[in-house]
Amino acid sequence: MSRRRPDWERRLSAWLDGELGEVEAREVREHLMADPEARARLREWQELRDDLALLQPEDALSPERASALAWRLDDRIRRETGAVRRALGVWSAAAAVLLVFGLGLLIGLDRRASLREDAWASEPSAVDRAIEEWLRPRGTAPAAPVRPGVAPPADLGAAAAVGAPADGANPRGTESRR
Amino acid sequence: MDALFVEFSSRVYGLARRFGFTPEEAEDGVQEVFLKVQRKIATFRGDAALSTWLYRVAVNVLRDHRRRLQRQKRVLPLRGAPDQEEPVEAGIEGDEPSPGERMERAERAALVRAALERLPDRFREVLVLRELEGLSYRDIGRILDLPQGTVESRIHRARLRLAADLKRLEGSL
Repeated sequence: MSRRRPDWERRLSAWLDGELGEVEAREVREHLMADPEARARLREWQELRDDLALLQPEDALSPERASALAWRLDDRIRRETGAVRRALGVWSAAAAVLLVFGLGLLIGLDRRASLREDAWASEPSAVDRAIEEWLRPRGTAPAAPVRPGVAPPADLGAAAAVGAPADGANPRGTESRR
Repeated sequence: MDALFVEFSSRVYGLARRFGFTPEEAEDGVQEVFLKVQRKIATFRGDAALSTWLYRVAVNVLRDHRRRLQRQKRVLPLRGAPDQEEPVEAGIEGDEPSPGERMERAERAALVRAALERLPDRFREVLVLRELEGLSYRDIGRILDLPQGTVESRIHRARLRLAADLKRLEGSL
């Protein structure tokens, strides 16, 4: 014998709730006519329904309690909305400060980089001067640095003109091999 | 929102009470539900009735509320024992019950409440939504996110279980 509950019980429950279609409902009614156990079950569930109905009146919310609740709810919504607005204000202010700071930092860095480029272009650094000094043959005068795109000073140009032959010959006087 | 509160607050309160909350807990529950409704009302798409959507929000919020209360209390004491229950004040209109009948009803109601309290949540929820809220299986399915067949089977099992628990409680008195 099967230990499962008979399927009609489940259908009876659905029938009690008016959830069955016409054909199934007729089958349940026929079953009820034929089976006293089914009728007993139905009676039990109808009593259960009456019992549950006893909980209805005491579960109502009185109008006074309802209006007190509405007031509390309004108050809480106002407080929560205010808190959200305040939080948004604080975060917006923080974001604005960060943005200004970030922009300032970017502009500052850019400006500093361009100043450094100018400094490099106009004057050799101490390191450059030391290296030049070290590479220069002894007894010769230090040459002004020649940087690409920058014209040499006038006296250096003249010195170069004196030292260099006009026809482009070797300044040391040695003959070039052909 | 105000209109919604007027329309549904009493129903949500009743639902909370039938789910086993004390009156104070139920009031807090109503507040939580309507706060959630206020936040989520924009997501209501209108493909179900507003009441169904609201029940869905209410059931979910009340579940969370119950869990929070249980965490606070560790063990939720069984409420609704006959000696703790307040008497039922309202009678059927035009058919005022005698004091004896009122007492009897109150005792019975307390017993039913205690039995309902003992049901597992999954059974209590479907039974309350069906028997006390009068919702259809389809709406219960939408509210609890369950297939209709599952709703039908749960209601059946909940009835069997509640009837058995009631008998046991009656026997223990």
